[in-house]
Amino acid sequence: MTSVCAYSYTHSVTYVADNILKSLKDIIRLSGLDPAKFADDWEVNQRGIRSWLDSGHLELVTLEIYHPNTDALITRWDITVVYQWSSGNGSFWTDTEQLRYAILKAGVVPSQAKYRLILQNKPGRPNVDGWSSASFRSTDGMVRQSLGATVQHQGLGANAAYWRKVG
Amino acid sequence: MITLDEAFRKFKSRLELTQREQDNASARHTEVREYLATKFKIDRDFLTGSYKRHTKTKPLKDIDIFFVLAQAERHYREKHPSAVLDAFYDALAEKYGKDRVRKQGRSINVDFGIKPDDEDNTNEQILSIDAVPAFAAGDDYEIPDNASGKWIKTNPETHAKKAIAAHQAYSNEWKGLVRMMKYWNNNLKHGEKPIKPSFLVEVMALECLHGDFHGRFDYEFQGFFTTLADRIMDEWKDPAGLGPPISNDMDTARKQRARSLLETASHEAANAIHLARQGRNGDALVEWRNLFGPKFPLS
Repeated sequence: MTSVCAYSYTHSVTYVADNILKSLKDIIRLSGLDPAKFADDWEVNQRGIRSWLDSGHLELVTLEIYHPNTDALITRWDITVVYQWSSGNGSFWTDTEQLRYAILKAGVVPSQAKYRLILQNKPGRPNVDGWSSASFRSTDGMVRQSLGATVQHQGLGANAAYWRKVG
Repeated sequence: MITLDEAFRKFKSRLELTQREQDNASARHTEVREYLATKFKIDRDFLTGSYKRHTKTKPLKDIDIFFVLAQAERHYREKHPSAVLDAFYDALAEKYGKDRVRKQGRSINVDFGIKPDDEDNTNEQILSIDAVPAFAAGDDYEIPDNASGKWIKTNPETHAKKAIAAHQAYSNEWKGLVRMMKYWNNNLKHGEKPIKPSFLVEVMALECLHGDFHGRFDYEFQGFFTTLADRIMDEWKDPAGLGPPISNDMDTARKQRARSLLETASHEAANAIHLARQGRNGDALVEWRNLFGPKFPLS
Protein backbone atom coordinates (compact mmCIF):
# COMPACT_ATOMS: atom_id res chain seq x y z
CA MET A 1 0.00 0.00 0.00
CA THR A 2 1.28 3.45 -0.80
CA SER A 3 0.52 6.66 1.06
CA VAL A 4 0.71 10.28 0.17
CA CYS A 5 0.67 13.34 2.38
CA ALA A 6 -0.61 16.56 0.87
CA TYR A 7 0.65 19.73 2.52
CA SER A 8 -1.34 22.93 2.62
CA TYR A 9 0.18 26.42 2.65
CA THR A 10 -0.78 26.59 6.35
CA HIS A 11 1.40 23.53 7.05
CA SER A 12 4.31 25.29 5.39
CA VAL A 13 3.70 28.53 7.29
CA THR A 14 3.68 26.67 10.60
CA TYR A 15 6.85 24.72 9.80
CA VAL A 16 8.80 27.73 8.47
CA ALA A 17 7.69 30.07 11.29
CA ASP A 18 8.56 27.54 14.00
CA ASN A 19 11.95 26.80 12.49
CA ILE A 20 12.82 30.46 11.97
CA LEU A 21 12.14 30.97 15.68
CA LYS A 22 14.15 27.88 16.68
CA SER A 23 17.00 29.01 14.45
CA LEU A 24 17.01 32.47 16.04
CA LYS A 25 17.04 30.91 19.51
CA ASP A 26 20.06 28.81 18.44
CA ILE A 27 21.79 31.93 17.11
CA ILE A 28 21.24 33.76 20.41
CA ARG A 29 22.43 30.84 22.52
CA LEU A 30 25.41 29.90 20.33
CA SER A 31 26.48 33.55 20.11
CA GLY A 32 26.94 33.49 23.88
CA LEU A 33 23.74 35.33 24.91
CA ASP A 34 20.95 34.40 27.28
CA PRO A 35 17.86 33.31 25.29
CA ALA A 36 15.50 33.84 28.28
CA LYS A 37 14.05 37.12 26.94
CA PHE A 38 13.54 35.53 23.53
CA ALA A 39 11.74 32.58 25.13
CA ASP A 40 9.52 35.02 27.07
CA ASP A 41 8.53 36.76 23.83
CA TRP A 42 8.03 33.50 21.93
CA GLU A 43 4.27 33.73 21.65
CA VAL A 44 4.13 37.28 20.31
CA ASN A 45 7.06 36.62 17.95
CA GLN A 46 5.39 33.47 16.67
CA ARG A 47 2.11 35.34 16.17
CA GLY A 48 3.78 38.03 14.08
CA ILE A 49 5.85 35.70 11.91
CA ARG A 50 2.99 33.27 11.31
CA SER A 51 0.42 35.96 10.57
CA TRP A 52 2.57 37.83 8.07
CA LEU A 53 3.90 34.63 6.44
CA ASP A 54 0.29 33.57 6.04
CA SER A 55 -0.71 36.90 4.47
CA GLY A 56 2.44 36.89 2.31
CA HIS A 57 3.68 40.23 3.67
CA LEU A 58 6.73 39.08 5.64
CA GLU A 59 10.00 39.88 3.87
CA LEU A 60 12.69 39.84 6.52
CA VAL A 61 13.16 38.64 10.10
CA THR A 62 16.05 40.47 11.72
CA LEU A 63 17.81 39.88 15.00
CA GLU A 64 19.79 42.95 16.01
CA ILE A 65 22.52 42.37 18.57
CA TYR A 66 23.67 45.68 20.01
CA HIS A 67 25.84 47.25 22.68
CA PRO A 68 23.91 47.95 25.91
CA ASN A 69 25.63 51.32 26.52
CA THR A 70 26.34 52.79 23.08
CA ASP A 71 23.28 51.22 21.44
CA ALA A 72 25.49 50.53 18.38
CA LEU A 73 24.99 47.39 16.35
CA ILE A 74 27.48 44.60 17.13
CA THR A 75 26.12 42.18 14.58
CA ARG A 76 22.83 41.44 12.92
CA TRP A 77 21.22 38.27 11.61
CA ASP A 78 18.79 38.42 8.69
CA ILE A 79 16.36 35.67 7.75
CA THR A 80 14.95 36.52 4.32
CA VAL A 81 11.68 34.85 3.33
CA VAL A 82 11.44 33.18 -0.10
CA TYR A 83 7.92 32.64 -1.49
CA GLN A 84 7.96 29.88 -4.09
CA TRP A 85 5.36 27.66 -2.49
CA SER A 86 4.13 24.67 -4.44
CA SER A 87 1.83 21.89 -3.23
CA GLY A 88 3.64 19.20 -5.21
CA ASN A 89 7.25 19.41 -4.06
CA GLY A 90 7.15 17.27 -0.92
CA SER A 91 10.49 18.35 0.51
CA PHE A 92 11.13 20.10 3.79
CA TRP A 93 14.18 20.59 5.98
CA THR A 94 15.94 22.91 8.39
CA ASP A 95 19.72 23.16 8.24
CA THR A 96 20.70 23.81 11.84
CA GLU A 97 24.27 22.69 11.12
CA GLN A 98 24.70 25.51 8.60
CA LEU A 99 23.95 28.10 11.31
CA ARG A 100 26.28 26.42 13.80
CA TYR A 101 29.05 26.50 11.21
CA ALA A 102 28.44 30.18 10.45
CA ILE A 103 28.41 31.16 14.15
CA LEU A 104 31.67 29.29 14.60
CA LYS A 105 33.11 31.58 11.94
CA ALA A 106 31.33 34.74 13.08
CA GLY A 107 32.43 34.28 16.70
CA VAL A 108 30.63 34.97 19.98
CA VAL A 109 29.47 38.43 21.04
CA PRO A 110 30.06 40.15 24.42
CA SER A 111 27.82 38.49 26.99
CA GLN A 112 26.33 41.83 28.11
CA ALA A 113 25.05 42.56 24.58
CA LYS A 114 21.31 43.04 24.09
CA TYR A 115 19.12 41.88 21.24
CA ARG A 116 15.75 42.55 19.66
CA LEU A 117 13.67 41.13 16.84
CA ILE A 118 12.40 43.25 13.93
CA LEU A 119 10.04 42.04 11.21
CA GLN A 120 10.06 43.84 7.88
CA ASN A 121 6.86 43.58 5.85
CA LYS A 122 5.65 44.60 2.43
CA PRO A 123 3.30 47.62 2.43
CA GLY A 124 -0.31 46.95 3.39
CA ARG A 125 0.36 44.41 6.14
CA PRO A 126 -2.51 43.65 8.49
CA ASN A 127 -2.01 44.67 12.14
CA VAL A 128 -0.97 41.98 14.62
CA ASP A 129 -1.31 42.36 18.39
CA GLY A 130 1.94 43.11 20.20
CA TRP A 131 3.73 44.62 17.16
CA SER A 132 4.43 48.30 16.38
CA SER A 133 6.67 50.28 14.02
CA ALA A 134 10.45 50.33 14.48
CA SER A 135 13.60 51.39 12.62
CA PHE A 136 16.74 49.40 11.97
CA ARG A 137 19.99 50.38 13.64
CA SER A 138 22.64 51.65 11.23
CA THR A 139 24.77 49.07 9.39
CA ASP A 140 27.35 51.68 8.32
CA GLY A 141 30.80 50.13 8.17
CA MET A 142 29.37 46.62 8.02
CA VAL A 143 28.93 44.08 5.22
CA ARG A 144 26.56 41.16 4.83
CA GLN A 145 27.74 37.55 4.76
CA SER A 146 25.02 35.45 3.15
CA LEU A 147 24.67 31.76 3.94
CA GLY A 148 21.91 30.51 1.64
CA ALA A 149 18.78 28.47 2.34
CA THR A 150 18.36 27.46 5.98
CA VAL A 151 14.65 26.51 6.17
CA GLN A 152 12.60 24.98 3.37
CA HIS A 153 9.04 23.63 3.19
CA GLN A 154 7.36 23.08 -0.18
CA GLY A 155 9.25 26.06 -1.62
CA LEU A 156 8.33 28.44 1.20
CA GLY A 157 11.71 29.06 2.71
CA ALA A 158 14.14 31.29 4.53
CA ASN A 159 17.72 32.32 3.69
CA ALA A 160 20.11 33.34 6.46
CA ALA A 161 22.78 36.03 6.53
CA TYR A 162 24.75 37.95 9.14
CA TRP A 163 26.41 41.35 9.19
CA ARG A 164 29.98 41.96 10.27
CA LYS A 165 32.23 44.96 10.63
CA VAL A 166 34.64 45.60 7.75
CA GLY A 167 38.36 45.65 8.44
CA MET B 1 32.75 5.55 -2.02
CA ILE B 2 34.68 8.79 -1.91
CA THR B 3 33.58 11.16 0.87
CA LEU B 4 32.47 14.71 0.14
CA ASP B 5 35.59 16.16 1.73
CA GLU B 6 37.79 13.82 -0.32
CA ALA B 7 35.87 14.81 -3.47
CA PHE B 8 36.42 18.53 -2.88
CA ARG B 9 40.11 17.98 -2.10
CA LYS B 10 40.52 15.91 -5.26
CA PHE B 11 38.67 18.59 -7.23
CA LYS B 12 40.97 21.23 -5.79
CA SER B 13 44.09 19.23 -6.65
CA ARG B 14 42.86 18.70 -10.21
CA LEU B 15 42.89 22.48 -10.64
CA GLU B 16 46.45 22.87 -9.37
CA LEU B 17 49.23 23.34 -11.90
CA THR B 18 51.30 20.29 -12.75
CA GLN B 19 55.01 20.50 -13.49
CA ARG B 20 54.33 19.69 -17.17
CA GLU B 21 51.86 22.57 -17.38
CA GLN B 22 54.32 24.93 -15.76
CA ASP B 23 57.02 23.76 -18.17
CA ASN B 24 54.71 24.24 -21.13
CA ALA B 25 53.66 27.69 -19.89
CA SER B 26 57.32 28.62 -19.43
CA ALA B 27 58.20 27.43 -22.95
CA ARG B 28 55.28 29.33 -24.46
CA HIS B 29 55.94 32.62 -22.70
CA THR B 30 59.66 32.37 -23.49
CA GLU B 31 58.77 31.85 -27.14
CA VAL B 32 56.45 34.86 -27.19
CA ARG B 33 58.70 37.21 -25.29
CA GLU B 34 61.81 36.29 -27.29
CA TYR B 35 59.86 36.97 -30.45
CA LEU B 36 58.42 40.30 -29.25
CA ALA B 37 61.90 41.37 -28.15
CA THR B 38 62.83 41.30 -31.85
CA LYS B 39 60.00 43.73 -32.62
CA PHE B 40 60.03 46.15 -29.65
CA LYS B 41 62.55 47.57 -27.22
CA ILE B 42 61.57 45.87 -23.98
CA ASP B 43 63.12 46.64 -20.60
CA ARG B 44 61.79 43.52 -18.93
CA ASP B 45 58.94 41.08 -19.08
CA PHE B 46 57.37 38.93 -16.41
CA LEU B 47 54.54 36.54 -15.77
CA THR B 48 51.73 38.12 -13.82
CA GLY B 49 47.99 37.91 -13.20
CA SER B 50 46.23 34.91 -11.75
CA TYR B 51 48.82 32.47 -13.13
CA LYS B 52 51.47 34.16 -11.04
CA ARG B 53 49.13 34.37 -8.02
CA HIS B 54 48.22 30.64 -8.32
CA THR B 55 44.55 31.47 -8.70
CA LYS B 56 44.32 30.37 -12.33
CA THR B 57 41.81 27.65 -13.01
CA LYS B 58 41.77 24.87 -15.61
CA PRO B 59 41.87 24.59 -18.57
CA LEU B 60 44.92 26.81 -18.36
CA LYS B 61 44.47 29.80 -20.66
CA ASP B 62 45.03 33.55 -20.97
CA ILE B 63 48.26 33.59 -18.96
CA ASP B 64 49.28 37.26 -18.56
CA ILE B 65 52.76 38.41 -19.54
CA PHE B 66 53.64 42.05 -18.88
CA PHE B 67 56.03 43.57 -21.43
CA VAL B 68 57.53 46.68 -19.88
CA LEU B 69 58.50 48.83 -22.84
CA ALA B 70 61.77 50.76 -22.91
CA GLN B 71 62.23 54.52 -23.27
CA ALA B 72 62.68 54.10 -27.04
CA GLU B 73 59.01 53.05 -27.24
CA ARG B 74 57.77 55.92 -25.08
CA HIS B 75 56.05 57.51 -28.10
CA TYR B 76 53.29 54.92 -27.72
CA ARG B 77 52.49 56.33 -24.28
CA GLU B 78 51.60 59.65 -25.88
CA LYS B 79 49.15 58.01 -28.29
CA HIS B 80 45.72 56.43 -27.95
CA PRO B 81 46.03 53.01 -26.23
CA SER B 82 44.88 51.30 -29.41
CA ALA B 83 48.18 52.25 -31.14
CA VAL B 84 50.38 49.99 -29.03
CA LEU B 85 47.75 47.24 -29.00
CA ASP B 86 47.57 47.42 -32.81
CA ALA B 87 51.36 47.24 -33.02
CA PHE B 88 51.46 44.19 -30.71
CA TYR B 89 48.63 42.62 -32.70
CA ASP B 90 50.40 43.12 -36.03
CA ALA B 91 53.65 41.71 -34.68
CA LEU B 92 52.03 38.63 -33.14
CA ALA B 93 49.74 38.03 -36.13
CA GLU B 94 52.85 37.97 -38.35
CA LYS B 95 54.21 35.02 -36.35
CA TYR B 96 51.07 33.14 -35.27
CA GLY B 97 48.58 34.10 -38.01
CA LYS B 98 45.50 36.29 -37.67
CA ASP B 99 43.30 33.31 -36.77
CA ARG B 100 45.33 32.70 -33.61
CA VAL B 101 45.66 36.30 -32.44
CA ARG B 102 42.90 38.44 -30.95
CA LYS B 103 42.74 42.06 -29.81
CA GLN B 104 41.38 42.55 -26.30
CA GLY B 105 40.75 45.66 -24.24
CA ARG B 106 44.14 45.70 -22.54
CA SER B 107 46.15 42.94 -24.20
CA ILE B 108 46.63 40.74 -27.23
CA ASN B 109 45.58 37.12 -26.87
CA VAL B 110 47.60 34.39 -28.61
CA ASP B 111 45.76 31.07 -28.95
CA PHE B 112 47.92 27.98 -29.40
CA GLY B 113 45.11 25.91 -30.91
CA ILE B 114 44.78 23.40 -28.05
CA LYS B 115 41.24 22.06 -27.47
CA PRO B 116 40.17 20.59 -24.09
CA ASP B 117 38.48 17.18 -24.14
CA ASP B 118 35.13 16.38 -22.48
CA GLU B 119 36.84 16.20 -19.08
CA ASP B 120 38.50 19.62 -19.61
CA ASN B 121 41.92 17.97 -20.02
CA THR B 122 44.44 19.50 -22.41
CA ASN B 123 47.28 16.97 -22.15
CA GLU B 124 48.84 19.54 -19.81
CA GLN B 125 49.24 22.10 -22.59
CA ILE B 126 48.30 25.73 -22.03
CA LEU B 127 45.69 27.18 -24.37
CA SER B 128 46.71 30.81 -24.72
CA ILE B 129 48.65 33.77 -23.36
CA ASP B 130 47.76 37.47 -23.04
CA ALA B 131 50.56 39.84 -24.02
CA VAL B 132 50.14 43.08 -22.05
CA PRO B 133 52.14 46.15 -23.14
CA ALA B 134 53.13 48.29 -20.14
CA PHE B 135 55.24 51.23 -19.07
CA ALA B 136 56.84 51.62 -15.68
CA ALA B 137 55.32 54.44 -13.57
CA GLY B 138 57.35 54.68 -10.38
CA ASP B 139 56.64 51.52 -8.45
CA ASP B 140 53.49 50.92 -10.50
CA TYR B 141 52.74 50.30 -14.16
CA GLU B 142 50.56 51.89 -16.80
CA ILE B 143 48.74 49.69 -19.31
CA PRO B 144 46.51 50.61 -22.28
CA ASP B 145 42.74 50.45 -21.81
CA ASN B 146 41.11 50.56 -25.21
CA ALA B 147 37.54 50.84 -23.87
CA SER B 148 38.18 54.08 -22.00
CA GLY B 149 40.84 55.32 -24.43
CA LYS B 150 43.15 55.91 -21.46
CA TRP B 151 46.27 54.45 -19.94
CA ILE B 152 45.43 53.00 -16.54
CA LYS B 153 47.63 52.33 -13.57
CA THR B 154 48.01 48.91 -12.04
CA ASN B 155 50.32 47.03 -9.74
CA PRO B 156 50.36 43.24 -9.99
CA GLU B 157 52.71 42.98 -7.01
CA THR B 158 50.09 44.62 -4.75
CA HIS B 159 47.43 42.23 -6.06
CA ALA B 160 49.74 39.30 -5.34
CA LYS B 161 50.41 40.50 -1.78
CA LYS B 162 46.67 40.82 -1.07
CA ALA B 163 46.07 37.31 -2.40
CA ILE B 164 48.83 35.90 -0.20
CA ALA B 165 47.41 37.67 2.88
CA ALA B 166 43.90 36.39 2.14
CA HIS B 167 45.23 32.86 1.61
CA GLN B 168 47.04 32.87 4.94
CA ALA B 169 44.04 34.35 6.80
CA TYR B 170 41.86 31.58 5.38
CA SER B 171 43.93 28.60 6.58
CA ASN B 172 45.75 28.41 3.22
CA GLU B 173 42.53 27.36 1.46
CA TRP B 174 41.66 30.72 -0.17
CA LYS B 175 43.44 30.17 -3.49
CA GLY B 176 41.91 26.70 -3.83
CA LEU B 177 38.38 28.03 -3.33
CA VAL B 178 39.02 30.86 -5.79
CA ARG B 179 40.24 28.38 -8.42
CA MET B 180 37.15 26.21 -7.89
CA MET B 181 34.84 29.23 -8.10
CA LYS B 182 36.55 30.37 -11.30
CA TYR B 183 36.07 26.87 -12.68
CA TRP B 184 32.33 27.23 -12.01
CA ASN B 185 32.45 30.64 -13.69
CA ASN B 186 34.12 29.15 -16.80
CA ASN B 187 31.62 26.26 -17.10
CA LEU B 188 30.46 26.11 -20.72
CA LYS B 189 26.87 25.49 -19.56
CA HIS B 190 26.64 29.21 -18.78
CA GLY B 191 27.53 30.22 -22.34
CA GLU B 192 29.20 33.53 -21.61
CA LYS B 193 31.08 33.71 -18.29
CA PRO B 194 28.71 35.07 -15.60
CA ILE B 195 31.40 37.12 -13.83
CA LYS B 196 33.76 39.18 -15.97
CA PRO B 197 36.65 39.57 -15.76
CA SER B 198 37.62 36.42 -13.84
CA PHE B 199 39.72 38.72 -11.67
CA LEU B 200 36.45 40.10 -10.27
CA VAL B 201 35.81 36.69 -8.66
CA GLU B 202 39.14 37.07 -6.91
CA VAL B 203 38.50 40.68 -5.88
CA MET B 204 35.11 39.74 -4.39
CA ALA B 205 36.70 36.73 -2.67
CA LEU B 206 39.08 39.05 -0.81
CA GLU B 207 36.05 40.27 1.15
CA CYS B 208 33.47 37.50 0.79
CA LEU B 209 35.60 34.55 1.92
CA HIS B 210 35.68 35.63 5.50
CA GLY B 211 36.07 34.12 8.93
CA ASP B 212 38.79 31.51 8.40
CA PHE B 213 38.20 28.15 6.77
CA HIS B 214 36.55 25.74 9.18
CA GLY B 215 36.74 22.57 7.12
CA ARG B 216 33.36 22.39 5.39
CA PHE B 217 33.70 22.97 1.63
CA ASP B 218 29.93 22.51 1.17
CA TYR B 219 28.96 25.35 3.52
CA GLU B 220 31.83 27.54 2.38
CA PHE B 221 30.65 27.29 -1.23
CA GLN B 222 26.97 27.67 -0.37
CA GLY B 223 27.84 30.90 1.47
CA PHE B 224 30.30 32.02 -1.22
CA PHE B 225 27.77 31.62 -4.05
CA THR B 226 25.05 33.35 -2.01
CA THR B 227 27.25 36.25 -0.91
CA LEU B 228 28.50 36.81 -4.47
CA ALA B 229 24.87 36.82 -5.66
CA ASP B 230 23.88 39.35 -3.00
CA ARG B 231 26.84 41.64 -3.67
CA ILE B 232 27.37 41.38 -7.44
CA MET B 233 25.59 44.72 -7.93
CA ASP B 234 28.11 46.51 -5.64
CA GLU B 235 31.06 48.46 -6.98
CA TRP B 236 34.31 46.49 -6.53
CA LYS B 237 37.41 48.64 -6.54
CA ASP B 238 40.91 47.76 -7.77
CA PRO B 239 42.61 46.16 -4.71
CA ALA B 240 45.77 48.13 -5.55
CA GLY B 241 43.72 51.36 -5.39
CA LEU B 242 45.09 52.49 -8.75
CA GLY B 243 42.91 51.57 -11.70
CA PRO B 244 39.17 51.85 -12.37
CA PRO B 245 36.79 49.58 -10.41
CA ILE B 246 37.16 45.95 -11.50
CA SER B 247 33.36 45.69 -11.68
CA ASN B 248 33.22 48.35 -14.44
CA ASP B 249 33.42 45.63 -17.09
CA MET B 250 29.89 44.47 -16.22
CA ASP B 251 26.82 46.52 -17.06
CA THR B 252 23.55 46.13 -15.14
CA ALA B 253 22.17 43.43 -17.47
CA ARG B 254 25.31 41.31 -17.03
CA LYS B 255 25.21 41.76 -13.27
CA GLN B 256 21.56 40.68 -13.17
CA ARG B 257 22.39 37.61 -15.26
CA ALA B 258 25.32 36.77 -12.96
CA ARG B 259 23.12 37.20 -9.88
CA SER B 260 20.52 34.83 -11.29
CA LEU B 261 23.15 32.15 -12.09
CA LEU B 262 24.81 32.57 -8.69
CA GLU B 263 21.42 32.21 -6.97
CA THR B 264 20.81 29.02 -8.94
CA ALA B 265 24.22 27.72 -7.85
CA SER B 266 23.40 28.56 -4.21
CA HIS B 267 20.13 26.65 -4.57
CA GLU B 268 21.96 23.67 -6.13
CA ALA B 269 24.46 23.72 -3.28
CA ALA B 270 21.59 23.63 -0.76
CA ASN B 271 20.13 20.63 -2.61
CA ALA B 272 23.49 18.84 -2.58
CA ILE B 273 23.85 19.50 1.15
CA HIS B 274 20.34 18.18 1.74
CA LEU B 275 21.10 14.99 -0.23
CA ALA B 276 24.20 14.38 1.90
CA ARG B 277 22.16 15.04 5.07
CA GLN B 278 19.81 12.27 3.95
CA GLY B 279 22.77 9.91 3.57
CA ARG B 280 22.58 10.02 -0.25
CA ASN B 281 26.28 10.68 -0.75
CA GLY B 282 26.44 9.49 -4.36
CA ASP B 283 23.56 11.74 -5.38
CA ALA B 284 25.18 14.65 -3.53
CA LEU B 285 28.41 14.14 -5.50
CA VAL B 286 26.44 14.14 -8.77
CA GLU B 287 24.73 17.38 -7.75
CA TRP B 288 28.07 19.06 -6.97
CA ARG B 289 29.46 17.81 -10.30
CA ASN B 290 26.45 19.25 -12.15
CA LEU B 291 27.10 22.52 -10.37
CA PHE B 292 30.87 22.79 -10.97
CA GLY B 293 31.61 20.78 -14.13
CA PRO B 294 33.47 17.66 -15.27
CA LYS B 295 36.56 18.05 -13.09
CA PHE B 296 34.49 17.52 -9.92
CA PRO B 297 35.08 13.81 -9.14
CA LEU B 298 32.45 11.16 -8.54
CA SER B 299 34.96 8.57 -7.32
